[in-house]
Amino acid sequence: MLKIENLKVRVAGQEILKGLDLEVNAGEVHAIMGPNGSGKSTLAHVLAGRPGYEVTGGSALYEGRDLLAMAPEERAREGVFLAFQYPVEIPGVNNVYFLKAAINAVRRHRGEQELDAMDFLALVKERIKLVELDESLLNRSINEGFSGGEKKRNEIFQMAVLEPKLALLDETDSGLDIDALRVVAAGINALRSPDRAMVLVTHYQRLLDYVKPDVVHVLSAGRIVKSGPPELAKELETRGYDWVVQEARSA
Amino acid sequence: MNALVDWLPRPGDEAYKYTSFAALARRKYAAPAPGTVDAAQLPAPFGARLLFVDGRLQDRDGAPECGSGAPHRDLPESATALRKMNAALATESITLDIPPDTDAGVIELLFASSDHATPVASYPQVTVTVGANAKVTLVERHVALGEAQDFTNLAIDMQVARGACVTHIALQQGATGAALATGLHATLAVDAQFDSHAVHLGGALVRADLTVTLAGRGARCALYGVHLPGMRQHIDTHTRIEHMVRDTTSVEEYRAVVDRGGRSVFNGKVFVAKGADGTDAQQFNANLLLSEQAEADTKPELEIYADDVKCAHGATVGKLDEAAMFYLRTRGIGVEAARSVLIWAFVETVLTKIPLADARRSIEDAVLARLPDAGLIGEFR
Repeated sequence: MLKIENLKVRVAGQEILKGLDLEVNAGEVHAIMGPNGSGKSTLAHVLAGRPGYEVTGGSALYEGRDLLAMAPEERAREGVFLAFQYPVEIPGVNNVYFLKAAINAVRRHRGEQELDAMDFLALVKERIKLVELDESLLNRSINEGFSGGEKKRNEIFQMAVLEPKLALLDETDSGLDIDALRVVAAGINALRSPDRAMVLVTHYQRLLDYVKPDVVHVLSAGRIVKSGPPELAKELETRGYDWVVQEARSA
Repeated sequence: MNALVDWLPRPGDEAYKYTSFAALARRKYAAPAPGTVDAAQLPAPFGARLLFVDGRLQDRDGAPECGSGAPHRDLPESATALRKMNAALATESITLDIPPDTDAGVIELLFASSDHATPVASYPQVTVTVGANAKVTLVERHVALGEAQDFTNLAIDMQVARGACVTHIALQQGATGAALATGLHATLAVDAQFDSHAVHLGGALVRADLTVTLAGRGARCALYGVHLPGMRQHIDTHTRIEHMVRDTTSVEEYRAVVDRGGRSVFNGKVFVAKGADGTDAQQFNANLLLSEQAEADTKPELEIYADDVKCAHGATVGKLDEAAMFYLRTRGIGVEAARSVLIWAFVETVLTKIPLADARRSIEDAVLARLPDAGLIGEFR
C-alpha cells in the first residue's frame, strides 16, 4: 500500500529525512519509534502533504501512485489520514459540519452519493461511541476549548468516520492519561482491518501495550536504522535508543 | 473640475486621512432625474419599502410613517466635510416618524441605482424620529441595477426617544465603480437602544460614518460590521460613539476580509464626556488579509474625560491560519474551499448577530457569493 524509498526531506533548509525506506502493506500496523528530533513527525507530515516540506530525493508510492505529487486534499480523498499530534483549533468552524463536508468531499471523489443529514448523523452517533467522546462536543468549533485528551479522541473519531485506507497517527498517545490512552487505543484497534494500514508514530512504548504492531521500526537521524517484531519496542523501553543508534553506526 | 470640488474633503483633512474623494472632482455627474427601474429587478423587500431611485424617493410602499420636508442645512462646525456636502446639496429630507409605544416592524430604505449612462450625484437625506418605547428595524440597502459610477452621499439623522429600540441593518452592494458616502447619526435618550449591522460588499470607494450619541442614562448601542473589499475596492468605516452621561454602554465589532487589490479602513472613536461615569465601552476590530497586495488600516481612538469607566479596545491584522488550512486539507477539503471556510468562520461570528432572519440569510448569501468554491459551506450553515 505504501512504499517509501530513499526519501529525503528538508524543512526550513535543514535535511531531516536522509534516505528513509519503509514498506507497509494493507492490514498491517507499523510503529515508528525513535528519539526526539529523529524525523518521526516530519515523516507523518510529509506523507500528508504539509506545505513547506521540501522533498529533495527518493519516492513514496501509495497504491502504486506517486503520493508526493498529490495535493493534501487529494491524498485525503484517496484514503490517507493524518491524526495530528497537535490538532488545530479552528474557531467558528463547527465540528460536525466540518466532518460532513469532509466525508462528502471523499465520497464525491469516489463517485459515491453524498450522505444526507440523516445518514450522516446516524454514522456520527455510531462512531462517536468508539472513542467515548461527548456528543455535545460535536456542535462546538473544531477542537476549540477541547481538553488535550478530547482533541486526540476527536482525531480518532474523525478517522472512524472517514474510514481511511492508510492512517498516519502522529504521537496520538502523547499527553493522554491512562484512561484516555485505553479509550484511544480501543478506538484504534476497532479500526484495524485487513484493508487498512496504520503507521503509529510514537516516542514511548506504552501505546504499543494496547495496540500491538506487526512491525516496529527505529528512526534515527532521518533513517530507519532497525526494524523488528513487537518485542523490539519493549527492548527499547528498557534499554533506550542509544544501543540501536550505536549498532547502526558500527554496521 | 466640477462643482463638487467646493464640497469634497480637502487634502490634509484628518478625517479623510486614508480615504480620498479627490478623484470625484474630475468626473462628470448629472443631477438625479426621475429615473425608472424595473420592479422585477429589485430584490425582495424585507419589510415596508421606501424606494429611492438614483437618490430620489420614488415609492413609499406601505410606509405610512413617511413624509417629506425641507432638508436640514444647519450642522455643527465639527460635522465632517461629506455631511456638510449633503446638507448643502440635498433637495429635501425624507422623514420617518415612529409614534411612541408602537412597533413599526421593518422599514426598508432601498437605494437603487438605475441602469443609466451618465453617472449621477445625489444627496438623499433621511430624518427618523422614534417615539418613546417604540420599536423599529430600519434596513438601509444599496443596490445597483447597472454599472453606473454614481456618487451617493446619504445622510440619516435619527432621534431615539426614551426606551425606544432601533435596529439598523445596512447591506451595501453598490456598483463596482460607484462611490458612496453614508453618514448616520443616532442620538439616544434614556434607556434607548441602537444596534447596527453593516455589511459592505460593493462599491469602489465607500465611506461610512456612523455616530452614536448616548445622551440619556442607560442608553446603549452595539455596532457590528463587515468589510469585504476586493480588487479596486476601498471601504472605510469611521465610527464615533459619544458617552455623554452616566451608565451608558457600547459594544463594537468590525471585521474586514481584504483580498488582492482591496483596502479596508476602520477608525473607531470612543468619546467619554466628563461626568459620564459607569461608562462601559468595548471595541474590537479584526482584519484578515488574503494577499500581500491587500491593505488594512485600523485605528482605535479613546478620548476619556470621566474617571470611573470600563473601556477596552483591540485590533488585529492577520493572514489565513496556515495550520488550519493544512488541517482542513488533510480531511479532503480543497484549497479554495478551505480558504472560504476560514473566511466564512471569520465573518460569520458577526453576521450571526443580525436579528432579522430574512435579512441575515440574504446577507449571508451575498457574502457566500463572494467566496470561491463556497458550495461546500452549505454544510456549515
